Amino acid sequence: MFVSKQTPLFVVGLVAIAGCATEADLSSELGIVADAAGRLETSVKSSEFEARIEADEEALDAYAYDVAVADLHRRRLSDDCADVIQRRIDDGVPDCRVIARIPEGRESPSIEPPATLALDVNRKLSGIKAYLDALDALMSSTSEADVRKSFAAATKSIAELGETAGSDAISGLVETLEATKTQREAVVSFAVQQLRTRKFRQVVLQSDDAFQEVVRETQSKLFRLGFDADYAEALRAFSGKDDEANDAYVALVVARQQGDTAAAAQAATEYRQAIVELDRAEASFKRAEDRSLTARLDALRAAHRAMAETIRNPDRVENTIALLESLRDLAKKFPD
Amino acid sequence: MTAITKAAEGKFTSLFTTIRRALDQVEQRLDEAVDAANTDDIIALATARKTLKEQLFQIRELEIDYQASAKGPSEAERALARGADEAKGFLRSMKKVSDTLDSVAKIASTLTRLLRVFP
Repeated sequence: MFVSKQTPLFVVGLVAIAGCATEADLSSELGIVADAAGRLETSVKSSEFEARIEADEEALDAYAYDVAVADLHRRRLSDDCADVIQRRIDDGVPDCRVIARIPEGRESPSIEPPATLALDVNRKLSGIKAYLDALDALMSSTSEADVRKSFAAATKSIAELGETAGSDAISGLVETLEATKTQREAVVSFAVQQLRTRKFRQVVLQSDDAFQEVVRETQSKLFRLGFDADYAEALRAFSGKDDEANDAYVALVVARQQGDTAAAAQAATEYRQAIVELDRAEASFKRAEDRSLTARLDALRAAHRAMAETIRNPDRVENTIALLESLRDLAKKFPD
Repeated sequence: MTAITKAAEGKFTSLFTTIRRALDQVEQRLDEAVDAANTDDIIALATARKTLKEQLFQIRELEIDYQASAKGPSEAERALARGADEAKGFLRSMKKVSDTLDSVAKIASTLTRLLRVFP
């Protein structure tokens, strides 16, 4: 089911309620989630991000070099080792020997590994994509058809063998197989489909918490990489206006409690003004939020959580509605 | 444990402790807010709300720091990868079932051919 911005919610609802009657039908919904995750990756991977990845890789190389050098310094080395330290470790000369280890407590200061935010985000996004792709492969698998086809081929070959061999035993077996062919194929298909659905349910349910966590970790790393600066600023502004409205309300209550009519009137005016400004800041925050990666990642999390809830309790209409809403949100946040 | 890992872990633990302390304070402010609401003390409620919001902001910032400072794949990433592996593993098993049935078909058909050649 494709959910577009133009699709009225009740139409989406009716179609999807019918579609969500069985767990196996979650394939289209999963497709929307996987597609959104793919588009998220594209949005993140700007040229600036690629440059950060390169910088991270260089920092990791430098770290590995520093660790190796520090490790050499922790040992008493033969004179030839100066060359090894000066040049790269991999260019080591055969005469460089460790003569003795420096005693505990006298090692050189420890070196901390560098922060590799861009590489981490890259890895996390790839992990999310790989997970959703695996679920998609499971959902869209043709296992039932493949097994049924192989089963039919095996039955046919055995039947031919029985005929050629003229064996009563094989012929008997073939007759039985032929008589129950349709039922057997149906049972094989059903069994495989049930196993596949059960595995899908199991994987989604057991991975939901991890999915939520990985997305949150990705959000945090993106924040520290400087993504969503507009969103953070709008949030701070909104929060500031919220504080002002809060203070204005307290001033109003205090003035009223003190019975100071003039001060109360003044405080009421200021409070009304603060509410108007708060509304403006909220509208501005919502616009920034809609454009943010944070909101896209939140929508992705919500869609997976709603899918897990629908699997957990397929008969609960609220879960189906939550799934629809999260998918609609996802479609809105990841426009074509 | 190497000195390098110890240093990184120390920084991480300290951040974690700060988050835990901030959460304790939130709990305390929440209690104050509930008390204020129960006694219809609007001013105390407004103050508690403001403080609570500031602390939640602080916790979110700390959480971001905590998650951003983690190095290497997290436990959650590993769990997600396990989920993906399970899904793929299932498909591999089903492929094996099909392959086994295909082998049965091939063996039967080879035997048939042999019987036709050597009746």
